[in-house]
Amino acid sequence: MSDLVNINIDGKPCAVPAGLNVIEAAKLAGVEIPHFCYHPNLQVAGSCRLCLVSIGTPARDRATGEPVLNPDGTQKIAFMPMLAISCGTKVSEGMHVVTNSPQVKAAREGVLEFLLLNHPLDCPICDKAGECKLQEYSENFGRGRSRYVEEKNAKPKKVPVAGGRIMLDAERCVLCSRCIRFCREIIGRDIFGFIRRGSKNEISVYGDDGGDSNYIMNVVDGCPVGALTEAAFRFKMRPWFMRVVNCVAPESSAGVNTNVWVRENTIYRITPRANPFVNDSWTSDSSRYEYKIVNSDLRLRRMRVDGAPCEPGYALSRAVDVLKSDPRIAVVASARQPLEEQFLLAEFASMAGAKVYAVSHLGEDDGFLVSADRTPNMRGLFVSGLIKEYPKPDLSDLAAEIRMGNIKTVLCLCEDATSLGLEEKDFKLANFVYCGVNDSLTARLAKVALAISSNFEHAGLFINRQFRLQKFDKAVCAPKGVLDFSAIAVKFINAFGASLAENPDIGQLRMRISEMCPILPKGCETGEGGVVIDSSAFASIKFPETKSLHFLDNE
Amino acid sequence: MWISRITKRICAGGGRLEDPDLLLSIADGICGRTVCAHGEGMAWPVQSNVSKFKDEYLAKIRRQLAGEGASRLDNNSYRLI
Repeated sequence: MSDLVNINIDGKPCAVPAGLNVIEAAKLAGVEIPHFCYHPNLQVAGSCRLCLVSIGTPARDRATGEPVLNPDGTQKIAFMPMLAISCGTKVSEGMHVVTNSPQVKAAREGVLEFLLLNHPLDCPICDKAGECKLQEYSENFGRGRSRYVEEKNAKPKKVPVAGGRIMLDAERCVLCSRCIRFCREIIGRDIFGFIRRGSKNEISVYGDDGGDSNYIMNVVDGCPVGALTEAAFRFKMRPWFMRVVNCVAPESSAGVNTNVWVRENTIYRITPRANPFVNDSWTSDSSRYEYKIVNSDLRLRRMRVDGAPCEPGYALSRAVDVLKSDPRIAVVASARQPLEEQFLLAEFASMAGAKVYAVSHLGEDDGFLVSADRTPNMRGLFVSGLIKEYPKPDLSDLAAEIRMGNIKTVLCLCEDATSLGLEEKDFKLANFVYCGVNDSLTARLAKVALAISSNFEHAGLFINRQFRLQKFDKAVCAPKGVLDFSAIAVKFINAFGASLAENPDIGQLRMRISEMCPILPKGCETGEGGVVIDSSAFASIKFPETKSLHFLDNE
Repeated sequence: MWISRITKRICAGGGRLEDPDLLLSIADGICGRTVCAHGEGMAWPVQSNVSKFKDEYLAKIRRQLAGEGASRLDNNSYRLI
């Protein structure tokens, strides 16, 4: 696959990897070939006929096999009389591709005109407008005016499918069959299908509409037009008003790359971001609604001291007092925090001489993009040196130590200790400082409860199940009175004698941890798709994830 | 579908002078570009018929436009001439 072949696209010579199809090769060469049915992660259907291009190969004499030359001595190119689909044609040495000839232009105009024959042309009230391929291609490659004066076919509109999570408007469909192929190839069963023939051909579901699948929403992202729209997002916000932030789904250790769509400090939706090494173009449905934590009622919004709300400054100084009150200290680390904060916590733990506990959150591994470890950054706890072996699913060890009087102070991060083996009486035996996103019984019982920002409100790094270091950006600002844990951790570390800069910049933090930990790249530069770090030091640890997409699948 | 609707419209007396060219253009847009051979099987007769008998199409449409074509309501109205 790594061999290069020399091809010529629109008169421009370029070298592309062998085995690519012409659409991908043209993309590398900077030429856009419009397409509907082709999707890089699905099988080629070749049904939309929009990617037709003129393809020629070097001419050879049939009898002798010698290359045929033009009169001026250059290689003669034998172009095929008919146009070929670029999605179904692989590049070969010396291939010439023409995407801007009048013939190709006429073909695209023809195909787009046919697609728009029965299209309702309802862009102003279509939720996909602005990110609709049919709209873009009609604008860029279409005729601009239809010659169709006959009556249009009417097809079903506003059909709820997938248990009402998706709305199907068959009239807008361009019959690309991506949804059919997605369900067949990725979900593994037929959910969508074509019914009727010719111009009455339409997409439909019968019986099983995929409502129980955790991946069915991917057909919405895959749909190039407004035929399949997300019921929860419909008519909430126009795509051109929103800013796209690159994030990593905190749902599980799969580390799915996501786009978070934000406008005016509000997250409207989460869609998958293609990463061919991690999640291809998909994400689970459950990871799409994790942003609800940002404005959820469960959120801890105010700092508390002894259960009474107070200002952040006072709460912080009280927390420092509590942490310094007794040297018998323990830290409960969280695999939900980004790597930078875990390193700061590790630094705090070593300065305060604290014992470190952590909790694993396990669930069922679906063998695709929701892994058994339901925390995004369990590997980070190992890399930052906080823990050495895979943690238990509860805090029974910590509870035992507290009851024996060995631990008098606990800094608990994010974990709801009361649901993990600690009882109310334990909070009287030891002083708790709770730092968390969610309000919980632990937050109410703790001596000091500090509200910290969620993973949508700060940038950070996660290490996924492949030991791939991936960075995510800050999507929205945290509510007033909520602090980044990195700022809080620096205060705690400084209280124990260090002198770190307050309110650290994320770049400085990353540079610092990459100097502390040699397996991390310098400055934690991850590039586009993340970098896999050397995991040989952790080979003996038993991780719960099982074989799934791009994980252990080469064994 | 488009071609059949245009021809039916011409038969029913609603032809326009640009329709024969439109029919040819649609057929040309299908020929050589479909994945299914039925597309060409449908387009070839249209191409040959319209290009060889275009004057007769136009004559019928002109008669219709002059108010004559629509009056022919016999059983053979599907015929073009």
